[in-house]
Amino acid sequence: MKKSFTLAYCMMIILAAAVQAQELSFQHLAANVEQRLNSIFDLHAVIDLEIVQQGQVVITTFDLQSGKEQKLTRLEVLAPELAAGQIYLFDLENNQMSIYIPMAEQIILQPLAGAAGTFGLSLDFANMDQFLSLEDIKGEIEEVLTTEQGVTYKVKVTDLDQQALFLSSASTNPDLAVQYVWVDANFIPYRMEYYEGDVCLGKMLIREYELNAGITAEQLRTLPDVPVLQF
Amino acid sequence: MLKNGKILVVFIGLVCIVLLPSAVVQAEARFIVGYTGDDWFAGIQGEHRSRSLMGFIGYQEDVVSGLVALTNQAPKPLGYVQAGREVFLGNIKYSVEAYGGNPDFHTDLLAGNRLGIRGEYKQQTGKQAYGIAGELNLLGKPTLKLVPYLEWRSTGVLKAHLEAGTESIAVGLDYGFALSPQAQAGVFAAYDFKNKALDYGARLTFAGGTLTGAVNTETGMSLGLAWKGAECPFAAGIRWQQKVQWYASYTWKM
Repeated sequence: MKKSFTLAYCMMIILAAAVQAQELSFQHLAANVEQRLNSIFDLHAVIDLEIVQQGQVVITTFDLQSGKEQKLTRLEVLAPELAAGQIYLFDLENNQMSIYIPMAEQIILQPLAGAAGTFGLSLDFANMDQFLSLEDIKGEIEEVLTTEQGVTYKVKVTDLDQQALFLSSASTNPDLAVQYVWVDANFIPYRMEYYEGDVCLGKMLIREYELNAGITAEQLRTLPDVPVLQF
Repeated sequence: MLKNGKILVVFIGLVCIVLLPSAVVQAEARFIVGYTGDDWFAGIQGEHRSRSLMGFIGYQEDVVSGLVALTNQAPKPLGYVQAGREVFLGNIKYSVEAYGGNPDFHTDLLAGNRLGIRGEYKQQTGKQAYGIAGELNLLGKPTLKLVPYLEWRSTGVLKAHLEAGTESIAVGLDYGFALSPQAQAGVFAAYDFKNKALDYGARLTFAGGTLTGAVNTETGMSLGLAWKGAECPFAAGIRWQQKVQWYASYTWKM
């Protein structure tokens, strides 16, 4: 009796998920993601990034804190050991970027324009959550998964932008490139994976996150009290 | 990735080494006067520094400097020339420097002339660091010195080193700690098995200056004070070990 009840309950969940998947189109999902992102005032997240560079897998973990009103984004490298302890502070208000280098016990200060120029894009460092936006992306919901945290959507991006630097730097055949994005029950895109055929070229996972926790500008700006080198 | 590949570009940019054209160049000249303990001297020093970013994870600094001074009695030249590079790349630091003359002029005016190279490699992993420093001197009797070391960081920095070279075989400990955000203190001790000499002492570092007191069982006690103004053009140093030697300099930025 108990087993039958459990089985029926599981089937109901699967059925409900399937119905929800049918009801929720990719456009609706993208709109929900957009709405969620627009409601974010500050973001604190721990992010794992795994990319393939010259045949080597490089795994990097960041602690990211960003505030829209404060116009500040702070990144602390947690791994690998080669860069652990470094802190990057993108200050849009003062248009500058500070990098704390623990080995040198110094902070490098440079104009933000130079940093953005290096990326090759005009990045909004004070609005980091917008980089998670699905707006203007063409895709389809490939799978709806039910987890302990709720319903998760697996999205396949159907029209990859050939200009994406990740592809141009890592992919040898962009025609075979495939990208998947996972969106959680809070409509936060928290995971992505990038493939060329069956080969995974990169993964990004927001391991944990906290929204609108009231991060202050002072918290974001706090850096070790060491000499500053201006570039 | 998601929006025109931006998020991945952000993070990839942080883990890739991209050489930036951004560089800072500084050149300065100094007029220096002082007393060696036996003679007065006067001279000039020139220094050229070039600092450039190495992607988002470090920078390198190239320094070329030279000093020439003449003593007043039976004019004898003092000074040095040196060229070196120091690189900070993530949690790795390395440096290499070639020199001729007395590259330790500012800490010991009469340390003697040498011709050689010295370098260091250091890597930090969390609260620990390890590295090796070395020096090869080619002037007169060639000498070689290698100093592997380990560092542990907590409230202070504890450094243990082993020194193996043609002139000495020694072990030592150094502990530095912060007294305040502007002041640091340290104690050190090293024992040289080859020369059977113990060297120990303490140092105090404050805004722009370092005060060092040391005792060596072979050479006796020494006291040193070096100071360089951060905002003003003056620098000075004084060292006492049986005799008093000192210098003062004035800097012109170019």
